[in-house]
Amino acid sequence: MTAPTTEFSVSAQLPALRAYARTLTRNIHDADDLVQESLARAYERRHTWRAEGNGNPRAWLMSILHNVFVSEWRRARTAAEHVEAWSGDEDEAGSVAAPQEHHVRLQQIRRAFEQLPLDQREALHLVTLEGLSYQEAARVLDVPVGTLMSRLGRARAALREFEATGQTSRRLRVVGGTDV
Amino acid sequence: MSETLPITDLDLDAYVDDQLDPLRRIEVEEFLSHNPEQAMRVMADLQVRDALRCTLPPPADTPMRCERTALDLQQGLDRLAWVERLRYIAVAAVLLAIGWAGHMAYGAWHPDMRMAVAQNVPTFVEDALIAHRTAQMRASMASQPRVTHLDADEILRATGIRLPALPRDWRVRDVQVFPSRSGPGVEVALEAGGLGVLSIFAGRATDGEADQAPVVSRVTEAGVAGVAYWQQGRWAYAVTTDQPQTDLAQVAGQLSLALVQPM
Repeated sequence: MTAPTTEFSVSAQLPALRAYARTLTRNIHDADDLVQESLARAYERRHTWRAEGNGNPRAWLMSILHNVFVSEWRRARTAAEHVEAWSGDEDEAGSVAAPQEHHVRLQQIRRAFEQLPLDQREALHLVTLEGLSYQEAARVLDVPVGTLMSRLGRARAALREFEATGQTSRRLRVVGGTDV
Repeated sequence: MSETLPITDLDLDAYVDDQLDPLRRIEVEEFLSHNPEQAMRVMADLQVRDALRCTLPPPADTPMRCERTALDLQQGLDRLAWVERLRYIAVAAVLLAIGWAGHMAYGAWHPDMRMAVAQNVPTFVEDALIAHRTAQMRASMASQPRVTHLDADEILRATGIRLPALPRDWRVRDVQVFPSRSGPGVEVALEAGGLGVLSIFAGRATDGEADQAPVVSRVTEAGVAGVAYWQQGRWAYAVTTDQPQTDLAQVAGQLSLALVQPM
């Protein structure tokens, strides 16, 4: 078509959206449902993309996804809260091939990450996995930057703790380091 | 590095999260090289970060249903970009009232008129551009028959749309009745003598009966170099060209005049 394009490709955002949805739902199948619903919501709200997108359409889509999850999706499904939080591990075929011992350790970190409270998990996802700036991530989550940073601090402390005391006998011994 | 700010825990976190500019990173690294305890902490954080990146890569194999919804959104946003663009152009356009006796002073200079044009016309112009592009596509297809005879009387009887009488040296390449949001529209593709290839689109105006002087917009999209549109009574007209040198203001003025007093 010859229409002027929207300067970004929605379909190119799909992997990032699915990854973020997977962090929220902890299950790739639910994640795809959530992505689907969020794209439909974005269509309804397409008139806001320029005003609310702040020049970052991916962040715009992620904040819609976040809202759909927090305001409707999670509420509707908490009753059926998944016991099999990480039983849907079939998508791990996609993770980076690692030698056996590393593989075990990576699995454990992933589980520790999935056990973090939602607010810490999503903050860490946006900054660490998605590479957003603190400001962008705070906008997606609709919280002040300070709140975001303290969630990050708590998430990091928990994972550090896990690394130090977890089932695996890691050499790292971290002392002190309380933050926020 | 004598005058650097002290390194805080926040800096260490921001270092791990890649939020620092290169200079500050160097300062943090300098600090860490003298503070093994903090360095251990930062290394542990980096290790966790990299482990998460390894174990949670973006999922592969997006399901088709997500792709389809993404495509719907893409098209919605693209259409929106078009409309925004046209609205912007319409607001920025210079109003030209040429050869349209009786409306010239009001149409050209009244500020309210400019806003009315900017707000109401884009849907019609959008339809005109779609018709123009569809006609271009038809022209390139061997299986689509050309209609080179323009029967303006029959079109008037059947659709109620009055087409302007055309100068004798213009040749009709194709005539089609198209659906538009305000009812049927007529698209006439022409070779307009020395003016190159043009198309005229006529249809019912979306906002009732009014007269609005021609507005010329320069559009730089593929297949379209500019569009002029105006309204006479219940009917709206647009002339679209793919040739930037065409004087659309002159053409629009000439055609709007031909509608009131046939050549």
